[in-house]
Amino acid sequence: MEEKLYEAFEQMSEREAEQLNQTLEGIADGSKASHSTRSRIRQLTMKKAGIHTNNRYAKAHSRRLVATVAAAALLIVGGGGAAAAGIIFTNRESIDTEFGDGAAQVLEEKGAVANIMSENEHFRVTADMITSDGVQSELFCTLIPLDEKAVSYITNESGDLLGGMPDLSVCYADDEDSQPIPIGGGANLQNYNETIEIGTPIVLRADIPLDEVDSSRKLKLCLSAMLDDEELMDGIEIEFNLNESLQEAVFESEDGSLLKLTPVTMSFSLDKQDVQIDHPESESLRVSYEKSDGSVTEEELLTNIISVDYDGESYTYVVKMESVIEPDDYTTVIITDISGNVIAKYSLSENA
Amino acid sequence: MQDEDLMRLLAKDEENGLEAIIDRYSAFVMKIIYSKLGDCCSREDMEETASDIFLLFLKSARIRNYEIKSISAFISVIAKRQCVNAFRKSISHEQTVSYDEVENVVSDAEQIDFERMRLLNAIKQLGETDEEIFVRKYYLGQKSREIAKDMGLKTNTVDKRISRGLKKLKTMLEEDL
Repeated sequence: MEEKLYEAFEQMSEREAEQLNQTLEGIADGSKASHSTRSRIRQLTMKKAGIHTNNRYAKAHSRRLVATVAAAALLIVGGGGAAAAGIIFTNRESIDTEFGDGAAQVLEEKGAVANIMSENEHFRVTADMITSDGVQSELFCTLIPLDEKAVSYITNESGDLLGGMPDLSVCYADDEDSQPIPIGGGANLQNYNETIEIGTPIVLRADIPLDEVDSSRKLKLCLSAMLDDEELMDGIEIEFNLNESLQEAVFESEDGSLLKLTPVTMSFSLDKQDVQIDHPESESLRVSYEKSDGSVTEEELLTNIISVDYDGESYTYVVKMESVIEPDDYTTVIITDISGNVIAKYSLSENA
Repeated sequence: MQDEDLMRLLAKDEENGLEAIIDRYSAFVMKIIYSKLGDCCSREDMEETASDIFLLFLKSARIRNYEIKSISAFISVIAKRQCVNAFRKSISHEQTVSYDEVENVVSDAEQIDFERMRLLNAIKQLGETDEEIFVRKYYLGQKSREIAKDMGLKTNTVDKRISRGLKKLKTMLEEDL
């Protein structure tokens, strides 16, 4: 009987499936996907469909990315870079609003600033901030079109973004023939300005999963943008060291899973059985912390999830902290589900 | 918004209509994809498959002059087929998924198999809860544990309902003959 059912459903046509319309609609209505999942699927689909967007996704993008660029802008003001780059945010308030008072200063002291620039006649690319916590590295760059060719490459017919996305690849700087290192989840461009013209700063963000990367070696970010058989990114290369620019504290659960805290991120893995299937990016996970002074924070909803990767066995989460923290202050991190059941408890690793 | 309104919006304004449909059905599509591809594909690949499904849906809708009665029914059929393609792609590393699938989806849409209809009618007679369990398990491919979580039941209860439901179906179909 079961085989018959599987076979029948496998070959069902739309007309037949309409018989189950009410049930399917009920299931659809009861299912939830996080905003970021819907947003990514939306962007992918619109791009494939060639449907213009009016950048409202870019404008509605998380404050955290905007604030991060703001931090970068401020942190390179001293070198005169910000004025030259035309970055739109010019005060510390954005990053301090995002991470708390004094956060911009703290991040600068912790070495999160890169301030590496490369340009040719068409584009200027600045790596504004690079963070790395051993699990993932995030590059926040500014891409500035310097001539009309560059503008026409990155805009579509309506003058909106998404005309073209430069190809990104990362390789080891000391071995250009090495296999390119995959950019996790792809990279993306965001525009926070009304129009895109020469000199308009565009945010370019890329994630590099570090599980197969030798962090001790210098890396090189290469970009490629072909327009009418001309390589517009010719000569543009950004070399950088990962060197785990942010301090981290490592925690371990009973089953050996690791959780890492840096001043701005938390990363951990959960087995797939422990995660609600509907939304593994989960607005339903909660976290609480125990500190070395004995205090315990209240359980809070886990938001600001930067990325979730799934390898078939487990989900790896990278989460942005609500404020800049001192990882060494923490002794335990507890992840629970929406009902308060403990999914994982990580204690400070003795091997850290 | 009801499906009728969504299709009307899609016909009038593809960008906003498609956005609204994606917003409403992303989770549903991902549920199907996850059931079929969760063990072999990364999250990025699954989201890529989801966008392929919505794109196929849009293309099919255009061909049908935006006359689709049930978006959930139509998109679930596309999703299941596309998951098969994506699975094949993941094991054979084929480069692209052919959008000639649009032709297959549209041409097969109206087919009715009477045996299948008998089975579907029998499932509907099991009652609302059991019908949903059977659709989730045999159509969407969910495991009992996932069904239990989604429906607020115990896994044991789901398994029992499936076992009883299978017996009932067998009896109903034999009586019909």
